[in-house]
Amino acid sequence: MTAIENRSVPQRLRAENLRLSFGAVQVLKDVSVDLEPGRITGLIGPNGAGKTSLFNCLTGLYRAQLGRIAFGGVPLETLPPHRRAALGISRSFQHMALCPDLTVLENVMVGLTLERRSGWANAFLPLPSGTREDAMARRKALAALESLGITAVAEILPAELPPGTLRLVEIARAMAGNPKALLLDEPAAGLNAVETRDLMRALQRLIRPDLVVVVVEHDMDLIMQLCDRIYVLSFGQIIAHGTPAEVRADPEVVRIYLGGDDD
Amino acid sequence: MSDLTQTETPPQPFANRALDPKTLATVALVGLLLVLPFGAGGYLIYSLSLCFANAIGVLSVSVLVRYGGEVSIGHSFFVALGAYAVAILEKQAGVGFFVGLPVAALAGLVGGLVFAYPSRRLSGIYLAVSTMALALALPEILVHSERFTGGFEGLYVALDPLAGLPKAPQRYYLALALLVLVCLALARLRKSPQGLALLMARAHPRAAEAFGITRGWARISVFALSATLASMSGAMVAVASSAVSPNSFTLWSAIFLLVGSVVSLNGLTLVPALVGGAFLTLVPNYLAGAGDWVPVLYGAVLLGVTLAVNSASDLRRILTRGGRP
Amino acid sequence: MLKTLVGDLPPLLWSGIVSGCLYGLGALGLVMIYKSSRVVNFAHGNLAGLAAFLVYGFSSGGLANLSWGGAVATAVALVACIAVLSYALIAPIVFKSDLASTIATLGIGLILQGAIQLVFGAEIVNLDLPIPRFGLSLAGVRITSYDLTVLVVTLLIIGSLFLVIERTRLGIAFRATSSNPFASRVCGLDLRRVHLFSWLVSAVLGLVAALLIVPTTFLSSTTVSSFMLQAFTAAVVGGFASLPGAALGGILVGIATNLFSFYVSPEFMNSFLLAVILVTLNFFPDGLLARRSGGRV
Repeated sequence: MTAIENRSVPQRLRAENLRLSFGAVQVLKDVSVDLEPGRITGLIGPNGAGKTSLFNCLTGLYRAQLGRIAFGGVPLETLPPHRRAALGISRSFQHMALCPDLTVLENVMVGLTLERRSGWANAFLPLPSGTREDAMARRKALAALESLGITAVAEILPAELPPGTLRLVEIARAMAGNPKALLLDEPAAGLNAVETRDLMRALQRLIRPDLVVVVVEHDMDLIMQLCDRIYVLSFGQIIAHGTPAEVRADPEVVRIYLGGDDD
Repeated sequence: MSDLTQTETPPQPFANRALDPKTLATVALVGLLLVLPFGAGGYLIYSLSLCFANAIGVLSVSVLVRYGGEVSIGHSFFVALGAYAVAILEKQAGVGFFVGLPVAALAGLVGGLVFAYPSRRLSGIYLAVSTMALALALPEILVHSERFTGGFEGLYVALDPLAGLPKAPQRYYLALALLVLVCLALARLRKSPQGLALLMARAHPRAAEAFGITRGWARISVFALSATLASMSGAMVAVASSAVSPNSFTLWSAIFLLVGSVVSLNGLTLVPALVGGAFLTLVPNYLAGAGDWVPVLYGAVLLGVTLAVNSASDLRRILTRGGRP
Repeated sequence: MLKTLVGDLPPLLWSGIVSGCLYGLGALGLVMIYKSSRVVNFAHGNLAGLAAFLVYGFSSGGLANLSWGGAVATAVALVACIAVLSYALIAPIVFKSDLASTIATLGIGLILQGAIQLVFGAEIVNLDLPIPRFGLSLAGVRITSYDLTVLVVTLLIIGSLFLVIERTRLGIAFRATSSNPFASRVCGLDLRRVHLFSWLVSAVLGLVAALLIVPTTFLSSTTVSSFMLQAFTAAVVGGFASLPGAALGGILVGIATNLFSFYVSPEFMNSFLLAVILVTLNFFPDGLLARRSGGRV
């Protein structure tokens, strides 16, 4: 693979033999995943299995001691989070990370920061170029809200909205910049059954042939219904992967999930 | 509201904003300030000119608090940078305010960039500690660089910005114009991509990073912006008060700026800026007789407002949580 | 040239170490509070200054006419009360916002500063230590009884602090809290008690430092707080979250400022300290003693 690829060519996000430890604790032991565009991949496992650590290695919050991560052939291991973002890797946060001073629409516009070109002069003076760009950003942010069905809350502050809607806003912000990979960290955490169902429908609408979608969850039902492929982590290792049906039939998975390890 | 169906009301049209009562009140206030010199005495005009200049200084601290979540007790340094830029340019090169102001702004910008750079990735407390050192280093620098700064005695600023026009009114209107322009620029900043990015970086630095906003960029940008404003305020103070001297730029004056920002609740619009500026300009005059009570009073204001604001936000959270089904 | 250097250097180093001990004591007080409650206490110097004035007031007849020991004991009691009260005032915002707690400690500092001026006015007084005066010369360095007192008191304080933190239950709680406040709360540690412990210790450290500093000059309403910049610099050099770092940072700063004022310029002392802070933050953000750790970026 060449380092620079055409934007239209779908790119996959791959991690090979990731090894991560904190002190003497090995959190990831030779983990390899291959995340394909055009489908939703689930990362699942009991608490402490290493899901979040793997997720953080992919987004750049943690740096694995060994192993390789590449997106469309571009090595990512040493890039900090904001450089990965510039390559089109976007994420949502398990603990909602919306700015309370900004309206929903403005929060989503933050997701467009990397493609904004207007300089500091535009930040203080009403120059036409900046005004045009503002209008464009506003349109894109509104489109992202629309794709998740929440345009109605655009001008509202996050504090006034229920968690289910806030989660959709988070995802809208991650989608606004038209990313090539979308990593969702426990999107259903803290949501009730109705909100989870709405979320699932919204996520299914996001699938595009050139978009890698990864969902980290410990809600087995959600993952089984939503994902096309699933990786199961346990004690820092991938113990199974495949389609939902294959994973469900895997004896090791059954043992872990029915053996009482799940919370 | 518990579900999405209740939020069907259409988003408010933006055109309506210009007509909201707050904006109208601000416009009326500016109108009042514009006609004031025709009916008011010389001392009031002089005090108000200083008040406008100080209001910009208060805004500079509030910008740092609002957009950076940082506190500075060294902004007297940047105010002095601007004030001395104007005074030294007049003395050495014979040029006036309209050359001095841009030079002052540039000096503040560069000073802010250089100063914020070392602590760009560290917790804000390091910034606070180094601003204290900045404020304490300033007087000795001013006093011992006599050739440029005039030492203890300082320098006079005598040149009129607009030659030929009466002194007092032109200072008044210039200061007012600069203050209004700064407020307008800050209002625009709030909607700009940079403004949104800075607010996000303050609320959730990690999340901001995932959207390409690094902590270092945010810290340095906010501080440089704040320092630039402080220097512009200093340039205006120099002209409004006709003189600069080390006495007006101590750790105390830096703390006054912070107190002014705190009493204005770190507001970034005209009215809070005027409240802070008035506090800085007028209160010391009225408290001249209070002497040793002044630090106690200012300390009580800092402590009281901070505690009150925080307990108010707690109260609001409890109320909204209780109100949700 | 070399000869004067050889002659000048030892006394400069010695007096640098002595004043460095004082800066270190000041920095220890700041770091104690920062470690436990993540608050930078800008009131530290003002409280220490008030403490020195209280000792003066209680021993000189201004407030009472006690013996030096009695005056110190009374001052310790009062300063402890003030420390508890200050902590009680800002306890609700500790951990919530660095910004708010910093501003609040500034407020407390201003109030204490005003209190000094209100009670003691603009007095400039002497406050000496009750120690015999003698001096001896050792390898060209003149060592006074004051120097020895500073060294002994500093070593005693650091030693007992170390014992308390390493050996007592409260010390263990303090260490746990400073490495992870939230985990230790989950484990059932009472954070407030640990905070109070550190605020009290810090106040007493401030008082000791103030009593040791004042004999080198005189006592006015701003004497002690004017040493705060040295203490803050020492804390930054030591990494702000390390007790040994604070002590060592104090001595480094003491030596460096002495050399700077002798060889370069005594007028630009604060600018020098500012430069030290900025350079340290840029190149050694975790202090000179920091160890590098892997994992999280």
